[in-house]
Amino acid sequence: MIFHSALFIFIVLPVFVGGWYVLGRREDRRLRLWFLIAVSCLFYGLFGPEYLLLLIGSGLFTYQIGKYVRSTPVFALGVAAHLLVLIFFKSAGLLSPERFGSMALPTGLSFYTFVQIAYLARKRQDPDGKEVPDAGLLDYLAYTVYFPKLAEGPITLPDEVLPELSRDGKVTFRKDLFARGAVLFVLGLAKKTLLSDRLAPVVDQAYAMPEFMNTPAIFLTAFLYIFQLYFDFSGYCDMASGISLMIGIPLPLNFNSPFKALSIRESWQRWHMTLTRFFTRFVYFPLGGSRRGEGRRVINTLIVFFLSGLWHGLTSGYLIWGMIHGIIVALPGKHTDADSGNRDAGLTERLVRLGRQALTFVIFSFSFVFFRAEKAQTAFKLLSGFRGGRGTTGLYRMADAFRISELYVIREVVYLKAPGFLRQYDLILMLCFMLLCFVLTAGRNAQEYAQQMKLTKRNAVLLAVLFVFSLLSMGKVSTFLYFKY
Amino acid sequence: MGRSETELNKKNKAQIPAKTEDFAGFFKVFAGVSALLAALAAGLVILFDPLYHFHGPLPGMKAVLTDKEYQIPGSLRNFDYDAVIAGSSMTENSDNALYDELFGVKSVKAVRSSGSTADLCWYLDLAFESRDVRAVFYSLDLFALDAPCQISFKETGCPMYLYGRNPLNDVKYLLNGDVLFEKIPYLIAANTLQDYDEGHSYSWAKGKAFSKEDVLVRYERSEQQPMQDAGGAAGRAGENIDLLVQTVREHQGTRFVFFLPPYSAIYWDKLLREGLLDVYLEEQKLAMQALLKEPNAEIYCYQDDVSVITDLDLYCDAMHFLPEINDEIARRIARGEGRVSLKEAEAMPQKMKELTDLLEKTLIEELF
Repeated sequence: MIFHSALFIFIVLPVFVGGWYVLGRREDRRLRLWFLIAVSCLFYGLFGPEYLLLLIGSGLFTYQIGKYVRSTPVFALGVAAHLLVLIFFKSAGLLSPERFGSMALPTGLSFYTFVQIAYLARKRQDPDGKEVPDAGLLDYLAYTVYFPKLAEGPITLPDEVLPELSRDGKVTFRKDLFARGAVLFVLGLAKKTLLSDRLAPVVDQAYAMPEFMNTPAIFLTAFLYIFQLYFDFSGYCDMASGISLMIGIPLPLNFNSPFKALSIRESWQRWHMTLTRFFTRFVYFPLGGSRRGEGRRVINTLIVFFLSGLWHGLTSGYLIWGMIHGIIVALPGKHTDADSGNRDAGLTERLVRLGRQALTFVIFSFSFVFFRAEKAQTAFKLLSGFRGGRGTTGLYRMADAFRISELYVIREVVYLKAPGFLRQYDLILMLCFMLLCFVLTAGRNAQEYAQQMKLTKRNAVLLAVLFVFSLLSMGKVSTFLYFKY
Repeated sequence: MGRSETELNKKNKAQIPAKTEDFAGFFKVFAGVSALLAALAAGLVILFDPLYHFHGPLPGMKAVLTDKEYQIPGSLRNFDYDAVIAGSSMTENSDNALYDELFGVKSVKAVRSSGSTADLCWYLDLAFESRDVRAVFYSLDLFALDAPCQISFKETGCPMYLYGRNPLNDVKYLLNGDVLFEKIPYLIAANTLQDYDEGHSYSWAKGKAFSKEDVLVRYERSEQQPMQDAGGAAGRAGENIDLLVQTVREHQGTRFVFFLPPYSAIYWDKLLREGLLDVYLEEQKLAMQALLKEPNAEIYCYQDDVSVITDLDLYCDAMHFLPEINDEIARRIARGEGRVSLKEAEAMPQKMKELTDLLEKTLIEELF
């Protein structure tokens, strides 16, 4: 099941939130946890019932291993088993297309595998249970299958959601959390349906004919894809956080205005933050981090980003993407946080910051050309357009793929009154949409809006309009991009 | 890299706001306005119903049929008709009005591009569910007989919420931006601004170029493949033939008119080079033999009309011809021309192979 479906929005979500609070009136948590597990199994089971068994098995296995995690061999066995399952599903189709070519990667496997490993690692780091609670089997099963974070993260630590689930006592309904959760859900839904899915056909068109893309088209392709991915992935995370907040359980932040970053290093503190946190805590630090000298810091950074590429997929595109980031982050340099800038800074300083922000955005979005292409060959085919010699066919085909149904009537009028201008009209519309994406990402993000929005009637009307427009756009939407990881 | 943790925790804690506001008022307005807007959108869709899922055209409005995958199930359920024109893209340019005039019927189309026999029979079942159908005009395409006997709507991305009777999934239609912002305005414009011709439902010919040059540009001539054994025809087309026969047999009161459209000489060259000619012709023969045993079935053949199939200016590609040919097919059927007897059906493979040989030695040799 997906969040942006009528079944989920009109039936599953109200039943889940309502049921959680009704059952939360009891002191005993068991009934509400069973309810959560049932709803989560229904949610996940619709992706493929056979993979539900894998998910539950993964949770049960981790729970048992977690009891003996002080033993290094047991810990290693637990981590290795999870990684082997992940590697099997990621690589089987590539290594043996005849036997496993049609086998799909279980939805969210990459995410929940890391959640399981994080549990084992945190249990081992916290043997006295000061931070990671000693949860019962039911608690841990509920934590494993907890559906808001299941398919695309965020990658939680057991310190975060588990204490809320394993706590006995009545659940208190907090109106403010519920309202802000609902706001966050609507904003996430709008990001997915009104922004990301409008860009999807344009990007698909570009990657279907990379050999036709000239320089302007390449820039557009890189920029529009990074916006598509951001609105898709962060939109999902906003919806997940919104749902979770509605029942009073906050999820960790996963995106924090990544395009405001002044460096690639800072981008990784703002983009897919829980993945960065996982690699930092459980790979980078154990390897020694930066404590063993500059050489080891560079090597450790490269290892982290190489693994990040592998985590996304075993193709050349992902590996190159990972290494690009690894090399840039490993470069020595002073780190600057965009948020730490002085608001009263002079014009020159502001321009310098803007320049750095723009440069970071360009590098970041172009590295994702390899990510989107998956195969390096396709990415190079696209980027070779910088050498020149390509016409505007690709550019106009991209523009032709861009449609806004709300503006259909205007486009038809242009078609009837000035058919020769139609291509330019499509192109202008697409550029305006890209400009809108820049403006939206330069301002407050959805989490900030949800936290700071005044709950006035005017804002309620605006949010309702956004919600209904998002509902109307669900008829043709695609699934989330990160479901395949 | 350690800075990310601090940042994350800071944001995480900030996620829980400190103060509370007028939650109830906010939520009431949000829910109320959302419900109102959603009801307005759904109401407009129900009223105009451009996909005809709930009802036929509004009084005084024409039936604007341009999206076959979206509109055929609804039109078959809700339109007023007593004849069906069924087939692939070869049939889509047929003129409903001409059929109505020639055969004294009121027709609708049940067409599907590259439609499998199973898909078309599913459409026919839908038509028979709600009424007595006097006549079915069915384009018996070679490729459709050879295709797997499986309904393919879901696999090919058709909007399944329009195909079933489940009222719950109607929400996908009722709250649909494309329907609201594109289909309804188009329906209104077609009824007011344009002179929309209802006879040309689902026609794709407008804007297409029909010429010898276009045919040749679109034809990628393959290497000569070994001819496949015609003995496999019964196995490959058996299920499709059985399904067709079953449909005909279950509706004895309906006149079933099957016709074999005139593919261009290029198409016959294509079948010959791909090694499919013998098996396709054998499948067609088996289908004709089986159907002609049914008293309410007739078959008309125009495949061998040399004056048509050698004039490539009548085509836009190897198979698809001008709408005027569709009209001519209807007129010839009405006149009873080209009707195939059982004996002629049995001789058809040999006749078509000889014709293909002749074409290879004349027109095809000149072209390639």
